[in-house]
Amino acid sequence: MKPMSRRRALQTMGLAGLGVVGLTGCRFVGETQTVTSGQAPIEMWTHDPGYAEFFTQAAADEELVGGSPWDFDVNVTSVSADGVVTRLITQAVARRPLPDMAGLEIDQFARMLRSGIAENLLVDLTSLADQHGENLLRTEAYSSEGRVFAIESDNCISVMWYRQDLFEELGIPEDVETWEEMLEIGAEVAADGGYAIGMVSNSGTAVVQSFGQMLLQRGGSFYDAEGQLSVVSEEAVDALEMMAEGVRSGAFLSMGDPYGGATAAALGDDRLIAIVMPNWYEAYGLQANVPEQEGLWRARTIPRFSGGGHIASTIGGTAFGVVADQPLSDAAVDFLDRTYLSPEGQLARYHAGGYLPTLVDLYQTNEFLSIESEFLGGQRIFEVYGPAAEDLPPYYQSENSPQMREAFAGPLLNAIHGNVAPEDALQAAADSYHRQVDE
Amino acid sequence: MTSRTRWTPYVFISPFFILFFVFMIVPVGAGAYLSLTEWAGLGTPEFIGLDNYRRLMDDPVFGISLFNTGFYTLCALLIVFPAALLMAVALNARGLKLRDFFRMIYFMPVVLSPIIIALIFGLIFDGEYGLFNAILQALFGYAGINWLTDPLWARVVVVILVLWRWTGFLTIFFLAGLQGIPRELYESAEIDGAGPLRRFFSVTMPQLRPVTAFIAVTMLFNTAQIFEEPFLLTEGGPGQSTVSIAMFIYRAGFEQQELGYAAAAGVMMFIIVFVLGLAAARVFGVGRSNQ
Amino acid sequence: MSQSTTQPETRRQRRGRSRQRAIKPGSNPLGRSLLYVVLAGLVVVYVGPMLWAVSSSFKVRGDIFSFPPQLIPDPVTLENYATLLETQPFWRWMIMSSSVALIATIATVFFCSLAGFGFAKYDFKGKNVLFYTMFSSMALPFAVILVPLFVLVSIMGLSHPFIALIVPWVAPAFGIFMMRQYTEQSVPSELLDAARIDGCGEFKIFLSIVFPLLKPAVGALGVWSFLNSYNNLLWPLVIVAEPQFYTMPLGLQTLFAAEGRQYDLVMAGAVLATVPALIVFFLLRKHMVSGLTAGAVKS
Repeated sequence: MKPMSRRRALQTMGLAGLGVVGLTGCRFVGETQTVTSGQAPIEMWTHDPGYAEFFTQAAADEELVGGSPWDFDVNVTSVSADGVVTRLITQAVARRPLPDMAGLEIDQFARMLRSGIAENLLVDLTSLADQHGENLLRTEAYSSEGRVFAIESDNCISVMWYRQDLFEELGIPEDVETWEEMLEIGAEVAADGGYAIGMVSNSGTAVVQSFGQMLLQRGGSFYDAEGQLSVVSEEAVDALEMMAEGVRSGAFLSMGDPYGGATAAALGDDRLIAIVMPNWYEAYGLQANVPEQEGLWRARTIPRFSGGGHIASTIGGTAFGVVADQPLSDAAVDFLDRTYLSPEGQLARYHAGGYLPTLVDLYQTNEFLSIESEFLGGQRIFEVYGPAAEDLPPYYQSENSPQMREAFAGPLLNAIHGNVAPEDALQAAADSYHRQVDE
Repeated sequence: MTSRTRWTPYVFISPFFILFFVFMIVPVGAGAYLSLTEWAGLGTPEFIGLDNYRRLMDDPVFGISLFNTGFYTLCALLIVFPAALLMAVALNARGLKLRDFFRMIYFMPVVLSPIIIALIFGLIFDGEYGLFNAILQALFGYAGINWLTDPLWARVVVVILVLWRWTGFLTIFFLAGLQGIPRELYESAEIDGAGPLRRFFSVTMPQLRPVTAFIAVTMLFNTAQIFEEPFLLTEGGPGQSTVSIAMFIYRAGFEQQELGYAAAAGVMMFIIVFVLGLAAARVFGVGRSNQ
Repeated sequence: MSQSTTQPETRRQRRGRSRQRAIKPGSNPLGRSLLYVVLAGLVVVYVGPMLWAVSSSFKVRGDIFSFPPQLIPDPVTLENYATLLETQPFWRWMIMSSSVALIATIATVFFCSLAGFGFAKYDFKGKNVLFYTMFSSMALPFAVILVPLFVLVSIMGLSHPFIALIVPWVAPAFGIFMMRQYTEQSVPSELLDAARIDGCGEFKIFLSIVFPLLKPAVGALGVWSFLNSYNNLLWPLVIVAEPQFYTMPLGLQTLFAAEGRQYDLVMAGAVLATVPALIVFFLLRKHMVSGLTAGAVKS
C-alpha cells in the first residue's frame, strides 16, 4: 500500500465499486513529494476571518515559528462552515486540489466521523495532543476511536452576559446563585417592563444549540463518550423545563437565532438585558450588533441549576485539522503545533480574535488574568473564565449528530412553546432519531 | 431524400442524446446502484441490499418531505394555477392600457435570484420585526404570528413565496393562450345568450386546454423538485417541517455524508415524480408530436 | 400538423389584441376602474418587496430589523456596498456567474435550435420515439440524479467548474421543444426546398436561412437559459468546491450562511447581483413572451 497514499487507494476501491475504474486507472501514478524544509505556503480553508488574521500574523511571528525548518506563509480562503467539510470531501472524491489545513467547525466535524472520513482525509494528531495530556481541553469532540484529528481553537466557554447598568436600575443582583432564582427575577422584570434575561432560539437547528448549552450545564449530554445517544435523561428534562418556563413567563425571549437581526434589534432597544452565550459572543453578538453599548455589559459565570451541574457550558468551536498526503502536511502539523499548542500561541490567539486558551493551566497565569476588556467596562474577564474553564463539561458527538440536531429541533420547539411535556418531547425526538439513523 | 440528408437530422439532434445519455441515463443507473450501498463519499461503497429503502420507509423525515412536497404541489395547482389564469384574464381585458407594463412587472420575480427572494421574504415575514406583521399590526392591531417559526405558517410562507415567484411567469402563457382564442367563438356564445361566466366555462376553458395542460404539467414537475424556497427561507425548519424531497436528498448526501441513502431517496423520487408525471402528461396529451 | 396557417406569434398577437372581444365586462366604467385598482394593487405586491430589498440595502445594520419598520432608510448609508466590495470577492463572483451563464446560453441556443430544426423539418426513422424520449426527460427531477451525477462528474474528471457548470446543461429538452414548436410555425418548408435546389448544404441552410428566422425564440431561450444558469444554486452548491470559482448565488449563500447572518452585506450583494439579470431581461423582454409561449400555445 505504501507507494500510493491510503486516500488514493480508498478512492480507487470506491471507483471500482462503481465499475468505472477503467476510466481513471491511469491516474494513480505519481507520489506526493513531501516538502521537508524551506518555503511552506500553506493553503487554508476556514469560515472565520478571525483565524485567517491570526494565522497570517503567526506565520510572520518569529516568537512563534522562529525555530521551524519551514518558512511559513499562509494563504487563506474563506469557505462557509459546512462548506469546508463538504468541499474537502467532494474535492477529494474529484481529486481536485485540497488545502493543507482546514478549520473544522465542531458540528460539521461530526460529519467526518462517518465511514472513517476523518481517518482518510486528515493527519492523526493524537501525538500532538498527548504531549499536553489532561491540560489540553476539548479534544474529545474531535476524536474518532480515541484518535485526535483536529486541535480546537477556542475553549468556547459559555458565561452569562448582562447589562450592568440595567441590572442596577432594575435592582437585579449580579451574583444570583441559581437559575431558579434568576428565572423568578426574569419573570418579574418581564411582567413589569418587558425586559428579558435570556433568549431561546426558535429557528431550525439553532434551538438545539440553545438546548445543548442548558443540557451540558445541567450535567447532561447528547452523546456519551462511546457515541451513544444519552439525551433522554433527568438532566435533559430539567434543562428543557427551564427553557419552557422562561419562555412562558417572558424571562426568555423566543427569537430566530442569537446572531440574527431580530436578536440584534432586541439588544439594541434594551429589551434583552442578559444572555448566556460563549466567549465569542462578546465580539460576534454584542460588539458587532450593539457597539454603542460598550462599557455597559459585564460577564459572570452562569447560575447553577439547583439540581446540580456546572457553572459553565459551551456552544460551538472550530478546530484545525491537517489534510493528509499533501506535500505540506508535515509543515502544517509543525505550524499548528507551534501556533496552537504553545503558551505564546495561545496568548497571541486571544489577542488576535478573543479565542480562549485550551491549555487549562494558562488561565491562572498573569498574562491572562491581567487582561481587561474594554467592551466590558474594564472587567478582568479571566476571573470569570478561569473558574468556568475548570468546570467546563465535556462535549461528545457522533457521526449521527447532524440527524440528531434535525430530529430534536421540532420536538424541542414544541416543548419550549408549552405544547408538549418535556419528557414526551424528548422521547418523541429520540424515537424519531432512532428511526432516521442507521445503527 | 439523398443519403447525405438521411443522416442530417440525427446529427442535428445528437448533442441532446449524447448529453442525455451521459448526464441523465447513466446517473439514473449509477443512482440505482448506489442506492443499494452504504457510502460516505470516500472509501468503498458497501453493498447492503435494500436496507436503505427499508430505512427510508421508516424515516419520519422522509415521510414529512413527501408530505410537504405533495402539499406544495397541491397548493401550486390549487392556488398558483387559478391565480395565474385570473391574472391573465384580467390582463386580456379589451382595450386595457399598460398591458405590457403590467405583464412585465408580474414577470419580474422570475428574473430575481432565489437567494434574493428568500432574503426579502425572510425580512418581510420575520416574526418580531417583519414588515408583514407590522402591516397586520397597523391594520388589525394583531401581529402575533410567528410566520417562519411556526411549522404550519412556515409552510404557508413557502407557498406564498412560490405564488409570488411563479404566478406572473405562468400568466404570460395563459395570456398568450387567451389571445389566441378566435373572437367569433365569443360572439356566437353571446348570441346564444351566454353570460360572462358561462362564456368563460364554455369557450375560454376548452379553448385553453392545450395551454392549461402544458402549464399544469410544467408546474407539476417544477414544484415536485422544489428546493431553493425552503432551503433558503427556512433551512427546512422549524425543525424539519418544511423539508422537501429534493432538500432531503441534498441533506442526506451532502450534509450527512450518506450518499447511498440519498441515492435511494432519489430513486424513490424518480418513481413517484417520473411515473406519476408521465401518466399525467399522457392524460393531458401534452408533448405528443401530433402527427 | 397544421403548420401552414401560423405566422410568427408576435404579429398575430399584436393584431389580435386590438381586435379581440373582451372576456371581462370591460365596457362598464366601474368594472374597468376596479380592474385597474386590482392590477395596480398587484404591482404593489410585486414591486413592494423588491423596493423593500433595495431600501434595506441602504440601511445601517441595526435598522434592517427595527420596529416599526423603516420604509425609507434613515440614515442612508453606502457602507454596506463599500464593505461588501472591500471584504468579499464580489466582482469575481459576478464575472464567474456571468461568463458561465453567457457561454452556457450561447451553446444552449445553438444546440437547441439545431435539434429543434431537426425535429421540426425532417422526417426520419424513430422520430416519434426520439421526440417523446426527449420530451419525457423534462420529467426527470434534477434531485434524482444529484448524487450520482456528482459522483460521475467527479470521477470522470469533469468537475472543473467551467466544465461541470456548463456542459451537462447545454441541450435542455425544454429548449429543444420550444425551438421545434417555433421552427414548425415560422419556417416555411418551401424556403428550405428552394435552398436545397440551389445546392445549399443542410447545415448551411440551418445557419443562413433557419436561424435568422428564429430570432424571437432565440431571444426567449437566451433569457431563459441565462437566468437559469445565472441563478442556479443547487448544482454549484454541490460541484463547485474551490472558492475562487464561486458563482454569485454561491457567494451570497456563503455570506448569508456565515455566522452573524450578515444581512447588511447580503442585501447589498443581492441588489447588485440582480443587475446583470435585469439587463438581460430588459434587452430581450420583447422576444421573451412570444418565444416562450410558442411551445405551449398550439393552434
